[in-house]
Amino acid sequence: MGQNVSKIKVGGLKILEEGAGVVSSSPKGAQRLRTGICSPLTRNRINLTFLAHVAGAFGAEAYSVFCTELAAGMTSFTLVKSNSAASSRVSLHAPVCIISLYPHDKRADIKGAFLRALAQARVMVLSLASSPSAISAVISAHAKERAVARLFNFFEFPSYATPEEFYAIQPPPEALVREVVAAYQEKVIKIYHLIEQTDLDLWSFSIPSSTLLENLGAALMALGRQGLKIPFLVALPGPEDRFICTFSTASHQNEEVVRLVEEHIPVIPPERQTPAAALFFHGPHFGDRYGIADTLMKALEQVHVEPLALSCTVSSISVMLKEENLASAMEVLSKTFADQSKEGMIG
Amino acid sequence: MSKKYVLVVDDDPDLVETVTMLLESKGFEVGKAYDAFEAEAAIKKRQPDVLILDVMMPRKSGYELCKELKENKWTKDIPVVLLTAVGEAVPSTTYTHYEGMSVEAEDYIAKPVDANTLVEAVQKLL
Repeated sequence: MGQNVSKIKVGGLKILEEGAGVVSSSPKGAQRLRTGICSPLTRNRINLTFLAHVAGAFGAEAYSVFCTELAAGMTSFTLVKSNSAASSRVSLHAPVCIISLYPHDKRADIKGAFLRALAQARVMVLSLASSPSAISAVISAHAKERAVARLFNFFEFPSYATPEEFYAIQPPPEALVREVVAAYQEKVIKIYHLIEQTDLDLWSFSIPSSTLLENLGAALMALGRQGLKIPFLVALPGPEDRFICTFSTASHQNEEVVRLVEEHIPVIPPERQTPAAALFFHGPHFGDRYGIADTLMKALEQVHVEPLALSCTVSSISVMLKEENLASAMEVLSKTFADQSKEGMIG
Repeated sequence: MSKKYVLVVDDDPDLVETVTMLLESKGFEVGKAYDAFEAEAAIKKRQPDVLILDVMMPRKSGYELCKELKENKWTKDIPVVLLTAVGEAVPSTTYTHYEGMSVEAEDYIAKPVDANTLVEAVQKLL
């Protein structure tokens, strides 16, 4: 997208700074997301500010990226390392920041433009994840300014016309971090809404890291021009210096997805898991409490359901499942979380 | 009959998405803003029938915006519902129900917002 292309109007940008990122992978089955990451962090009252997970993509390993506040980075890394199988790979990256752009309205072109902006800024992305309203990228803190500058080439924001105006109104980084450091826990975690979406395909691509953003961004923009919606997206480091990208689309659009993506990403054929279903937990304030992802994973384990992919960012959690597991997952989760919308009889 | 228009203002985009869905499912037309300044611009373009306003926002709090709206003759009659995560579970705060009511907001609801409570609060003000 260059200077002659209209900018996309969106709502805003959020940056959560002063973070640490941990990348983890392990042979499938050797490390579960809960026992290896979520539970150790919960026991130590460490809050996750970001979590992306893909289980068994391409039949091999499970991959996760999570973020905490910077001060908890080394502790988190040590906890995960000590709870991982010997053959697992765990690495710490700090300092990082999480840039979130919203709302995406599930539009593939907005997500694609976000990625292309980061690519053109030559930013190395540690992970990407979507929430119901935002698309987030974990990047090196040192790359923040050029990432933001480039985003202003692609997007128009109502509250700030330039990066300078954006920075001028930002609260101090430590203030934002304070908002997400665990302050309290609820016995029964309240959520605003638990939404399910069925009849989806879950696509997984393994692509060279160096071409991830530009090509993936172009592919998503092409999907967006065809009107395709992407309710879920996660990308994180995979095997052999490649990136795994996983996203969902409506299952009846599978041929279009294959055609458009293969035009832009010269990769091994994508994996398609279908039928898949998505669950979206809308906040509140998942960012300021620990143990929520752990609670979710424990509940799913009770009914022997393992997520295909998971995203925790902004203030919501998105989960991809095999559609055959949806009913049992909904039953256990509706007992585990207090869904304010159901109590209000809004469906 | 035209739909009643509610403007939702919160710096948490996922919350805005959720509250929008709740209200739209009840037949309201919903506008969104992500900070107080954006809300001011939106109100200048079109006055909402009800304003749902998060209290704790950067730059200008919902508390401050509510006060300004109530002191302006053009906007003082817009009904305001303040939303806040402040509650008994949070150890300290400067935003209390008392202060909310002292700036003449019409109502104050603690997060997480019960769907029925929110809709009833909005309908009561219309």
